[in-house]
Amino acid sequence: MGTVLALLAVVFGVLTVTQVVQSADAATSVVEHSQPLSDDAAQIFHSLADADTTAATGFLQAGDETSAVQKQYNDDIAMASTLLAKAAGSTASDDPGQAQIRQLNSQLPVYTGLVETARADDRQGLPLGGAYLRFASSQLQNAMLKEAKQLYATETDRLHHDYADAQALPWASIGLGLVLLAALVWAQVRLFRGTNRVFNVGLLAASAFTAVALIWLGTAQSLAASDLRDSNTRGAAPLQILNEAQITALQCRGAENLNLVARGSTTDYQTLWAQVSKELAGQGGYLDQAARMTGGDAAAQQQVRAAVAAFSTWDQRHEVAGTANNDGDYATAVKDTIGVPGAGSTNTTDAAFTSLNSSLAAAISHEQANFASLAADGRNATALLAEGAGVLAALAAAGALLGINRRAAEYR
Amino acid sequence: MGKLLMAMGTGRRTRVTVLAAAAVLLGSLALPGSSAAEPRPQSVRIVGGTPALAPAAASCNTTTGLTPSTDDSGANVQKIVKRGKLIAGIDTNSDLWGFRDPVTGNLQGFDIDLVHALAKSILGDANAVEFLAVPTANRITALQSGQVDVVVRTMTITCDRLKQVSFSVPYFYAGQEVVAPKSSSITGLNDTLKGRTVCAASGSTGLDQLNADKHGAKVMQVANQLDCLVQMQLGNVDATVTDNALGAGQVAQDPTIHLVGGLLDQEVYGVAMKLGSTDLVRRVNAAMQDFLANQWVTEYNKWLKPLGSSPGAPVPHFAG
Repeated sequence: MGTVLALLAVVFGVLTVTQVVQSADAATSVVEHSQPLSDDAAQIFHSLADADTTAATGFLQAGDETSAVQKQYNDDIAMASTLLAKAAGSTASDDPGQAQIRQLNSQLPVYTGLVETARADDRQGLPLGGAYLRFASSQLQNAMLKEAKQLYATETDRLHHDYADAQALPWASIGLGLVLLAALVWAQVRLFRGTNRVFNVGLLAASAFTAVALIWLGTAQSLAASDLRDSNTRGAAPLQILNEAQITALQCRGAENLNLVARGSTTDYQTLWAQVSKELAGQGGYLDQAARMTGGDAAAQQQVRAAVAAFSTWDQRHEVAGTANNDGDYATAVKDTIGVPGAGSTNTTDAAFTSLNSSLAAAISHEQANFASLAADGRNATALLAEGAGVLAALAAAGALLGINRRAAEYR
Repeated sequence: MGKLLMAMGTGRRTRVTVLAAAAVLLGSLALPGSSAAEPRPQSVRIVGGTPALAPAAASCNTTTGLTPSTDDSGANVQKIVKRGKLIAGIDTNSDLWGFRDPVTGNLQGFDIDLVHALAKSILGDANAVEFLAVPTANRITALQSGQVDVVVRTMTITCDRLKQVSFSVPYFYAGQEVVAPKSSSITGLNDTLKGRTVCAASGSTGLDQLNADKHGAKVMQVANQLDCLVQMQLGNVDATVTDNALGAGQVAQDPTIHLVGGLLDQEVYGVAMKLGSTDLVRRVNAAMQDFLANQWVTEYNKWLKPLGSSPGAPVPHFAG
């Protein structure tokens, strides 16, 4: 009987260690792998969309393209290709995201080539430049951004999956622990009935170790799960919406610029603006969702409110610039949109966009900090749990063996 | 090969010259007895029995305009005079015709200069102009809603359009033509297109002509004829069917391509105005008469050299 109890205790120990290590691995994966990957994917999307918008701004500045705009475009492309290389290295070769990474890797140089041709043509005074830029942009919007979005969705799915794994309570070990505890109590009752000895030190110790292990396991895992849940609801989830908001804002800005680049040859970009600006700021849009998700967090809420206000300014200025353009006053429309290159541009749609963007960026880094600290709490809650549970289970096994064998020895 | 193409090029020019000659002849026939005798019609009228010049299938006259007049008392002219500004719907993406200088951002091109000439004639100030970029699809509605006074945007005078807007006398004779790389074996809208991909802008006459007989080619549709040049440079299409005037704009931007096979049809460009704005049509025709006689050749040489040497200004003919 002692052997059976000891064996049960050993199995309990092994199972507990395995399950704790598994969920700790999942938590590590969330913090060190899937969350950063999901963030990187968002950043790839962001860089590409920003490159598109910036290229159009440079184009509108025409001969006066400022070095700041050129640098921003170059930085965007460098960032996208660096992150693509990083993402390719940190995902397994059978990862579903690899397909998108491969495609994006092959399309990025084609895109930059088209933008360079657009610039070269434009510098020579050829209207063909505008056609090249519109083609480059359509490639980016219709193929690359779709793939980047897909990559982001893939990585975010993985994040949710890892979250679920990390938050799962180790029911099997808890169940087995309870069975072990019941068996120990039952053994003691039987011994008491057979020998009339109230206490068996070995079994009592084994019960105590098991109980402590169970309580530690239950509390630590619940705490960890709760912290991780918080890191999701108060970190990763609003972060995801804010990322989407930032990306959508960029698409609005891109549509606005390209409408001017198109110079009245198509109304597609006006339609695109109407569509993406609704996704951003319409009812139930990303800003709306972000406001709801950050409800309990004053600092984040403030940034989101600032972003909403910035959008409303932007929208008004967009209307003014659009009216100027529709009235044939192209120069004013461009000035209202990107300002005068080199001079300050305070009342432009670009300034409002920049303000919106920086509010969102502040909210994003706030949520990133939230995520990191809550996720770290979650991981700390289970620190030493695997080792502790292993030792306690071993002690319980030893106690059970000793306790029963001692009794048995007395009858020899 | 080169010789053949040259011969074709010459053939095209010869044809334009012949047509211009026909126009002179027609003009001299049409002019006398056209005015005083009968009441002035409300819009550009279909003049019966016009020979040769109009496309064979046409059921209307696209080459004759209302008799010019410098009378400014009409309501439509007065609107412009009182405003002190001519509002012109233009294209800003057509090389040679209407486009922006990327350095200065200023509008320039043949059509733009024509608008300035109209403003100078009507308002006495070539710069009393407000330009409004009008997408191809909105040209007619922009006139109907009164958003613009005139549309000067390589706009072809067609019988269908004459039912919706009024036109000035033609200021340019054009036609659809094939644009292909010089290195290509494509010689026109013929069997050399077999198995190739040919580009045309949606809604364009070029697309209609291509669809009427594809000669075994695949067709790619794009939003703007300039998008065809992008696709051609990227090697995605082998040739483009477009207006020769716009095709010349493409050639001006890419010396490795050329216009081949001669004109596929005959089109005339005119200044479009609101349907029935007779006073404005006459006033614009008066300005046009002067432009054609005194400025046209200079403008042609300034902008349209890629089309070949000047065939001479179209000779206007008026009636009604």
